[in-house]
Amino acid sequence: MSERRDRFDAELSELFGEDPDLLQLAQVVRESPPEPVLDPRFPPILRARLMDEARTVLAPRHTFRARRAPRRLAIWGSFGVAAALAAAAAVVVALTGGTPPPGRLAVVASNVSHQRAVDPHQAITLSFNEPLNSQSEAAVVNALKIQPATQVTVTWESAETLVVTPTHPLAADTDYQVTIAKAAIQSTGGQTLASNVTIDFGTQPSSPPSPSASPAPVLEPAVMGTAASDGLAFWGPASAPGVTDASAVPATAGTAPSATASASPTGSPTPSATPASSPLASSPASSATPAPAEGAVVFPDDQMPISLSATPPAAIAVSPDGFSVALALTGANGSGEIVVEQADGSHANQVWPSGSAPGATVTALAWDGNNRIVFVTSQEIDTVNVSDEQSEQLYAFPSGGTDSGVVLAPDGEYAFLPGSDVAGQPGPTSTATPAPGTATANPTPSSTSSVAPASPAATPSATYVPSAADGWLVTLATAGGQIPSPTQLAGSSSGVVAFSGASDEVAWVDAGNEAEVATVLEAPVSDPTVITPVPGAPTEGIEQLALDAHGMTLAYGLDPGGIEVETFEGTVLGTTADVASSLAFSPDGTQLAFVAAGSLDVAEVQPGSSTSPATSVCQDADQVLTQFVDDQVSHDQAGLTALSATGAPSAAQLTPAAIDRGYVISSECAAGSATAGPTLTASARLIVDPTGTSPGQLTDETMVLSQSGGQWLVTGLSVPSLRAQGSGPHVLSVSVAPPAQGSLNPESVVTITFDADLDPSSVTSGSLWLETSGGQTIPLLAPPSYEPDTREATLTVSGAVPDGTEVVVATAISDIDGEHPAAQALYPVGS
Amino acid sequence: MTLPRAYEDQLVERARTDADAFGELYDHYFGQIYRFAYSRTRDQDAAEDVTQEVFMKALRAMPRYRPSGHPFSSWLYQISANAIADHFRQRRPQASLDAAVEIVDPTRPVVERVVESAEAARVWAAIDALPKQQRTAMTLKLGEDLKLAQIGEIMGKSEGAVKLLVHRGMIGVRQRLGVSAVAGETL
Repeated sequence: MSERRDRFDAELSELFGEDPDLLQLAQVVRESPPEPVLDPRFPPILRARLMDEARTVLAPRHTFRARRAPRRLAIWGSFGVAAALAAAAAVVVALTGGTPPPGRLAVVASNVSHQRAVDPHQAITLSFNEPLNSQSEAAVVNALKIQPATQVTVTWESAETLVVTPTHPLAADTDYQVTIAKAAIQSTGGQTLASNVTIDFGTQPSSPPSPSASPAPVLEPAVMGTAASDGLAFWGPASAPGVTDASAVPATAGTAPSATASASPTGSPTPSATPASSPLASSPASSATPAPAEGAVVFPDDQMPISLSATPPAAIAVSPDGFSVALALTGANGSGEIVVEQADGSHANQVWPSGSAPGATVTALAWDGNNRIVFVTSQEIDTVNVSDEQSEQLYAFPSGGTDSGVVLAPDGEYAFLPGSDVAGQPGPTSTATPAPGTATANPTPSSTSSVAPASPAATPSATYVPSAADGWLVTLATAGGQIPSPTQLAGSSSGVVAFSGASDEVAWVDAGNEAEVATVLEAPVSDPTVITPVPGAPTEGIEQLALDAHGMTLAYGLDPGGIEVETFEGTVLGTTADVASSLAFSPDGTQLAFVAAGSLDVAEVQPGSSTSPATSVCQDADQVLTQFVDDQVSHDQAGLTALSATGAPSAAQLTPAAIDRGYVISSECAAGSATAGPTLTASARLIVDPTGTSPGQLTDETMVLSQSGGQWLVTGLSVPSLRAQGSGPHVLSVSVAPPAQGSLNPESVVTITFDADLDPSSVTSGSLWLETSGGQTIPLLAPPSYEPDTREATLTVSGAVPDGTEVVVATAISDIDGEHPAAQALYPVGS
Repeated sequence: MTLPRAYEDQLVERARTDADAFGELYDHYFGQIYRFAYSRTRDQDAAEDVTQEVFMKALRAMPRYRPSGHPFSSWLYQISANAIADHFRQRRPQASLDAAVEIVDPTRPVVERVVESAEAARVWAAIDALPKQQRTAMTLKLGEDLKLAQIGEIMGKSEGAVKLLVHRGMIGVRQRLGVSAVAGETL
């Protein structure tokens, strides 16, 4: 595995240019990397393991487009879909199957012809057997037509090769046809086409959004400042984000640090190590020569950054009134100390230790009121009064216990302790550790936090069975060294635990069940035995956990990378691929701060969409719906029968033969009533792809799913006859984003995605509207809008979309070629 | 040995759902990751364990992997750095590392001594004895020949911070070999 390397490395030269001996040493070391010892059997063995695992892990999940193309797959054979994808990009496909007739102009190759999984971003090339004359090069631009209507740019790569580039990415999972009229073109030798050029191809499916949910947005964090990789993100005074252990290195590229360069603090109170990418970079301070700044820095809006300390604190907390900040620092002699200062970084005062004896290292702290700080050292949990600097021991760890793994609630009244910190204490007994899910009487904390909204974890799970029990939730006593009434947090052995900002909820990761699937659990602090599993939470790799003020929104930091922000109901609010640590919600829950890639990042978190009870009720129905369409495509009669209720129309008989593809366009869930159960009404499309001898066909079917014996089954099915795919725009999908949780002006947004580029002027309230099941038009808050890049039209209505609502797509709508749909169509809208 | 970026992007996208594409990524990056793991652990079994963990974690994360604009290898190195850190957390520090950095004939310049392969090994042993972050930065720079900016991406640090780590690391190596900034001068 050794490689020959150039002796010269410009970066090393720049780095050690002032110290030739060190440079030479570095170069020599670089040229002699340690040669690894490798068992040659290991790489293929590991590869085989990975491939076995990959076939399970990489299987598509939760696709709402049942796509099976038996006939196409037969063409690809075992080569597989992915190989065909690669081939589509790299292999030129002969169109004519042989040499074109003598004296005839012909298209002999295209990179997409007969491909069924073309990348929507891919340009289309057509190669002729003869160079075209200059008039034809111009004429072909007008003679070329693409269906569904798509705006393209046509260029000539050479006199023989035409490149057609879509202005916007092609629609996913859609059949396309490119035609060139034979009369339009002629070669330089006067040769003409024998017939019109026709090229068929299909695009690959995407991962479309659930028909009843909006897509998960990608978080777009803003960089606030530099940070060490193990820095601590926090929310400072006035809800400004801050970070501890900011970078000590000024961003002065090209100047190598000298041999005596040091990251030690300068003592300068002015933080100025703002990175170039920071929105604060243009501030006067950062335009000056940057000086090393290390420690805790707060970034208020539109103000200079505030330096709270020159050295990186191990923990930091802002007082409830926002006036004071407490920092856990390491003194000059290596002892731990707690310093309290005003929120602007002034009036720093060491409040602990008060005597001359050195303090132990403080690893965590929290404000209990505005005058008392609770903190954790390696031996105990203590408290100190800020006014008189008197401290008291709250609890001493037993032999074998340490500060490792202790998590303090923000209000300092509760703490999570690992089992080793509680073992042998008089508090925990079997009577104090009721099984989760059994709401037994449990001691109520003596002074619970202020009145909080209804707990999201108010309903215990009747089915969850914990697998381990190693952690304890304790109420921190005023003093005395014993833990009153600790409560076991079942399955919290992972140590990934977080409190809500108001200290009213606690959540933890149970990673210890037999299936090695992590479960995130949440419970009210006032009764931690009332445990609720958090639906939709990641099931592996959770290394970080953060809760908003009341545990309604959770953020997960994942290994090996990525953040997911989800509501307690499981709605994904945002994701990012950042390898991040130290997640912290802003007090109002609208922002998430974290440390990633050498910076403090802050991402906006959109308010959680409230998942309607109906949508939740129909979650399982969506899976049955997808499977049903999948079975239609594959003509799995046994599967169709199993998913159909007794007495329902025969899907096997109604489904046309030779279907190549199918996908769900939209669905609508009705929660049901006292006399009728929930139902799911859906629209799906079945497609026969075009071949060289027959045009493509499609039909839009409707079905109704209901619950029978606890299982969702298709109870109603209507499949119109196949019709020619034809021209004009088709609806690909319909989805609805329900009103945002807590919004003052709640509104729902219905999104209709088309396969063709629309004429924007045709998207009006006369061509696209919503109506109730009774046929009444639902007023829109604004005229319909259209986004050309995604081919999405949106309709916005006040409040939630009523049950039974349908989107009406009238024939007045048209594509950029002026083509209209063959008929008016209605699609159910998810509630 | 870097894949063309456009091809790598396409391959990574395919690897989110395609085992064969992931296999191609494995074929390309196995050597780099194994070498990095071995450089840091100096133990064949440990390097195999770390390499397996890295690719297994990467595989399981592929469906939710989103390109960040950085090379795919940066992500693999990030996973590797974490896996190596976990490896060392689970084991006590190797006492033999310090023993390997015995001071030898300080009258000869360091450079003169490291040209001999055995001496190069001593230098690498000295690198192994550096603080964790310096060690990682030095290994990625001098062992893996990565750019400072990429090392910064991997370690979650600014390029300037990486410069500082490498610079301090080299000084640390020189000190551990018993030579001052002026070659041949003992401390």
